[in-house]
Amino acid sequence: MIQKRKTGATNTLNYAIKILAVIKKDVQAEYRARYAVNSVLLFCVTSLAVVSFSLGGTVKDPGIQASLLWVILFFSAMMGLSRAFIKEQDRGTMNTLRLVCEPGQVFIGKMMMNFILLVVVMLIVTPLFIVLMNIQNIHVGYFASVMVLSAAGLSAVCTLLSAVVAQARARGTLFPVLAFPVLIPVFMVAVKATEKAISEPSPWANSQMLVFLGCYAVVSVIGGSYLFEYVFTE
Amino acid sequence: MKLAYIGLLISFLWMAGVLAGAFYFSPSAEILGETSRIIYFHVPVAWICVLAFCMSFWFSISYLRTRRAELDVNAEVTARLGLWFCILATITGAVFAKSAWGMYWNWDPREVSITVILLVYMAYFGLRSSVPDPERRMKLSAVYSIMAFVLMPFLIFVVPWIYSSLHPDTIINVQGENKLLDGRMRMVFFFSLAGFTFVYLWMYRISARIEKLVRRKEGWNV
Repeated sequence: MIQKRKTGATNTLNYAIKILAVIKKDVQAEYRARYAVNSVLLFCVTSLAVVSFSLGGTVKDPGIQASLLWVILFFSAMMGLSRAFIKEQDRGTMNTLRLVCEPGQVFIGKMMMNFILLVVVMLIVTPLFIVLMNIQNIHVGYFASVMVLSAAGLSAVCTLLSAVVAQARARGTLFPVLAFPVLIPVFMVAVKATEKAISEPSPWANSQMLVFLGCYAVVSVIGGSYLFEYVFTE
Repeated sequence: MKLAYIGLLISFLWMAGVLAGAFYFSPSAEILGETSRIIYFHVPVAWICVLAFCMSFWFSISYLRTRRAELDVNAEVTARLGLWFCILATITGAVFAKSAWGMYWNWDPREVSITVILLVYMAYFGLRSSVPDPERRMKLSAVYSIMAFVLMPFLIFVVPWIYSSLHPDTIINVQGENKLLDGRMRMVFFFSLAGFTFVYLWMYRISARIEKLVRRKEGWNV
């Protein structure tokens, strides 16, 4: 009995170590080349500049401000997160990954990496956005929760679809086409919740939207890791 | 063979009856007037669109479980029919919206949902056409179809939050009882629903047979 429990614990530990190894490998590759971070950040900052140049300080409506922020974040996510498996496919390292890791480990590792990437982008873009759009009464805690929960849902769905798209032709155009209809619920709720965070004095009073984003994240992680096995194994 | 012809004849007469019922037998609704007759066509078409979506999900799951190519044929065929019915539902809905609300399109919750279903179907076929390897195509499209279906309840849940509705369903169905549909209207409506479902299943069977013959010619064992 004790023996059994012990092996269970070591299995879990091994599983976690493999996941960490996948993340570490991606972080290292990213640190050396800075491909995804550079391209996504540049894209984000450029589109932010375009938006704020064209509008100046004229937009005062929190609804429009929130929508603009999410349009920028959505498209940069589409650019950056699709690369998770496309780059493996291009370098021919997909089979190596298949050999050394189980599908679940690869999925969770890649998803965490995408999540980190998205959070880094958000950490840089949202303060800039807040400054450029001259947003004053912002509720930081609520705002941050909206960002983190939406990032979780986005990265789970995008990781699965990245693996799908990596095996297809015309990936760059196909990825947003596949992702948008599936991500619409997150997108709509995130815009509304962001609007709430920058306009209402006490957004915590009614935190339905956060629960919704959390549920979406959980379902997409479970669904994604279950379906990923079919996509990944040949 | 003979049975199939009899079935065809019955469904033809049935649909003719639905047409007659829709325009002569049933009265028009109190508030909406003559435009309300679109309910006998628009609602069944939208129902078929959802039904096809569910069937595609079911065939995709069965395909991933068993890896039998014919299940992929079924999933594709029902999704293709679903796409057509989805387009029909969008158009009939827009026609009704124009006459009832004055605009073809105003982002009513139902219009949002049907747009998303339309986008999912189009993405599904976009994915199918861009994977050259057949076995991979079957696998990936099944995965996408399942993922889209699993996340669809969120959409159904969230849309009424964000957009306010003018759709007759939300006005007619006050607390679950149909206040504005009288007996004759309800009868024609359910006859029409059954008739459309039958026509859909018939179309589905024929297209699945054709598709299977095409794939057999390509050397697939379906």
